Amino acid sequence: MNRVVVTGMAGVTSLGSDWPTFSDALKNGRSGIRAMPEWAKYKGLDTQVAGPVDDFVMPSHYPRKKVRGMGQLSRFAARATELALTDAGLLDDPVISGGQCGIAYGSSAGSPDAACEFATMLNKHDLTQITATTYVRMMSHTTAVNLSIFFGVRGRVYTTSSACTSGSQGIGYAYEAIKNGTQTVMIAGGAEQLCPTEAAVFDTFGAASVKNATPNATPSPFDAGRDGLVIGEGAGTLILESLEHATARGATIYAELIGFATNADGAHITQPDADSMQAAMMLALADANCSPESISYISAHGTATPWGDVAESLATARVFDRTVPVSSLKGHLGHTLGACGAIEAWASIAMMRERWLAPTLNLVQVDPQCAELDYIIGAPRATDGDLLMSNNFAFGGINTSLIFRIHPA
Amino acid sequence: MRRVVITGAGAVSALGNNWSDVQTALAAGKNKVQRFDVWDKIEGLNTRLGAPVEFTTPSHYPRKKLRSMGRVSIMAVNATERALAEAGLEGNPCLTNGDAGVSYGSCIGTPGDVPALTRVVTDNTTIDLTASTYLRTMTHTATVNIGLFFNMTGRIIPTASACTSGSQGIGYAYEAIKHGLQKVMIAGGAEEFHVTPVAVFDTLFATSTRNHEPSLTPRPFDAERDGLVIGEGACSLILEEYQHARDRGATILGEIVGYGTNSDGTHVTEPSAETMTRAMQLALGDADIGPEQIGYVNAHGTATAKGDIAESRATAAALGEGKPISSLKSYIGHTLGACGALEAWMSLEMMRSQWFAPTINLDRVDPECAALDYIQHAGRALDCEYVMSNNFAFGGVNTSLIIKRFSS
Repeated sequence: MNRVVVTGMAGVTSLGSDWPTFSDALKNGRSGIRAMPEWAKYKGLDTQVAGPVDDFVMPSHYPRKKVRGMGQLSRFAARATELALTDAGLLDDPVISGGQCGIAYGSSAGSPDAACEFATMLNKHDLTQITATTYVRMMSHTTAVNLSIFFGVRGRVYTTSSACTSGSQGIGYAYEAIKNGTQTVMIAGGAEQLCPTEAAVFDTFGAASVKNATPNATPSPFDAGRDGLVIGEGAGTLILESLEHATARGATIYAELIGFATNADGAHITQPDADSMQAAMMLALADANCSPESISYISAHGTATPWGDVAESLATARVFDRTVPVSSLKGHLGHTLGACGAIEAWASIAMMRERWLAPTLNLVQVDPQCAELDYIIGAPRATDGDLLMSNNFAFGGINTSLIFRIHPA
Repeated sequence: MRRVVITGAGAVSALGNNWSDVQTALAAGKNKVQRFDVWDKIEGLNTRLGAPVEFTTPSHYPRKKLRSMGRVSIMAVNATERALAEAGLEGNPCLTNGDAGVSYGSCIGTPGDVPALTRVVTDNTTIDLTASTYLRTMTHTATVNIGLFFNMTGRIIPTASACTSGSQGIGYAYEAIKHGLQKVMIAGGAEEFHVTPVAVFDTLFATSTRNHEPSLTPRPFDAERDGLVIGEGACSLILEEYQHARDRGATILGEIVGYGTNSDGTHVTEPSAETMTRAMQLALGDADIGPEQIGYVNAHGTATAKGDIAESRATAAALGEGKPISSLKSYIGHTLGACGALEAWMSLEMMRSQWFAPTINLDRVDPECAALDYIQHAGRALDCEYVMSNNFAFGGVNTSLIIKRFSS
């Protein structure tokens, strides 16, 4: 069994694509959510707020040949990964293309514009909009494949497209690949491209926020007045590495990934289930061989849906049996779906290394239906803890729980 | 490290849903390819060929469970139901107590529901969208629906990696048991027949256009091959930790002993012989056996010009020239997400019956392909202890599985 450490972290978010910018927004309560006047034309779409990455510019040094098969989704993923590899000091390192490095990466869907090209074919019986790259951009594992080609990765590929746990399963399955000795380095994470169809999907479940007039006040995870989630976009990448490999090359170690678990509720495709969430957290604690008391912070999935937040808080309270500090970054970023597990792991590790924890933005009054936890409200909280847990739960009943031991800055 | 055995298999395929039917159909030496005149109306589509399965939804599936399932999920659930029955695990508590997981994939979800989703953007309306639309179109729809149908609470490993979805499903399930994370895994892949994937390969000029002679195509490794034909199907294997299978007195069909997977890292659609070779070597290393111990190779063999050449050269480089090899795609076309699982299962059963099907329509081996012992014209009696099943996906993902004849 190899020990697995995090040596590179980066993301593309609506609040910035570098940690100083992103952390400043988290500390100062800036929201990445805005009104979406461009969605007004969609008949039947009630939610008109989202968290787009408005300032993303594809780096000019990306060769045209390599970006042809990349929708905006894969470009987010490539940028986050380039930044993470640079952070780890592994960009262009021979280990990346030597077969010892693999990829575990996912998203809820492929690039939506490519799906539209296909729909046109089906509706109009016309193939002329389809190009050789349409399927490559549309397929749900487009990020994993594009990253492999962009960075010349020749190791194993895990396509962790499992909706809202795509990013966290990416990190978890990458961890197991290194732990079990099949790879030395893994590029792990997830991405998502904003699309009105995704908003419409949550709309049909009555799960999307309609506080369209006050975009900065929604979503409000765990708050009594929450009315649903807000869709966001972005990407997050962690570079995982065996402790031995990282130590040998003198890499800066941000954290050790000591526990991962994933399970399913087996009960309902859209109704969250507190029992199996609880089981996932307990399995992760067992994998990490640590007690609930040792965990100092929980990065909650906390999407701000009425039923999801209640189930998650109950499950968390049952595992910890004390008021453990909890916050959800979805208050700031909205629900970035395939990206959230990776962005949240990145931010949680980075915050804890700097000895602070972000509050849940827009959480004013905790819903009495939610279990009693130490919800971080209003302002950042100082911490001296070393262990954090990051939880995610997907549509389809998939649960994940990750435990990191940070190496202080 | 735990040993991983196969205790059940179930399939939905154009050759039949159980080994007896499939073997009869393979021995008959006729493919299941049909011409689709309805595609004449699609502007720009060159091929008219496909290999669908005659499949209807079992009447005992409750409507409530079917709501989130398109054809790909229904076929996957049906294959899984058959596999669980063969393994004697129907209703077994291990399915619901967290000991059993699902590792499964397909190239895409149910394509027919995609327009309802994209109408939001193309026609500015959510009118066609229901709560289940996304659940049927999402790529891991078969994976999730299997878990829900059988109320499974173990881990879900989505393996949607195009043409290696089924083989990665088996490989990653094998590793989950080998490393002690699960006792039982439902492993495999599925794909439903639809013009969408046909059009994808058509735009790459990878489809066969022998539109007037469907019985003569696809022709893997043949000098006159002109591309692949899209099929469909589903196959689920029940993988089980050896001791768990023994303790409950299960019949053991075979043992998974090796898995290798890697990627090209170079091009989305150009196959690379070098990394294919490496994948096979990784599987041999995992199985801790030499190339001479492999008695038969089940090829990916899609019948594309470049793919067959690269694969045959990679196989010769990894295993040596003269290795017995055939491609079952000559019978049922390329079943995409399902092929890795269907082919692993059929390879296992061929090993058990000591009879290996030929590649049909392989009349004259392409001289560009490496010198292998291509099984042609008639089946071959072979007594072997190990078979290798290889798959290679769009996107440069390679897999190699090694299955051993079971001996306690």
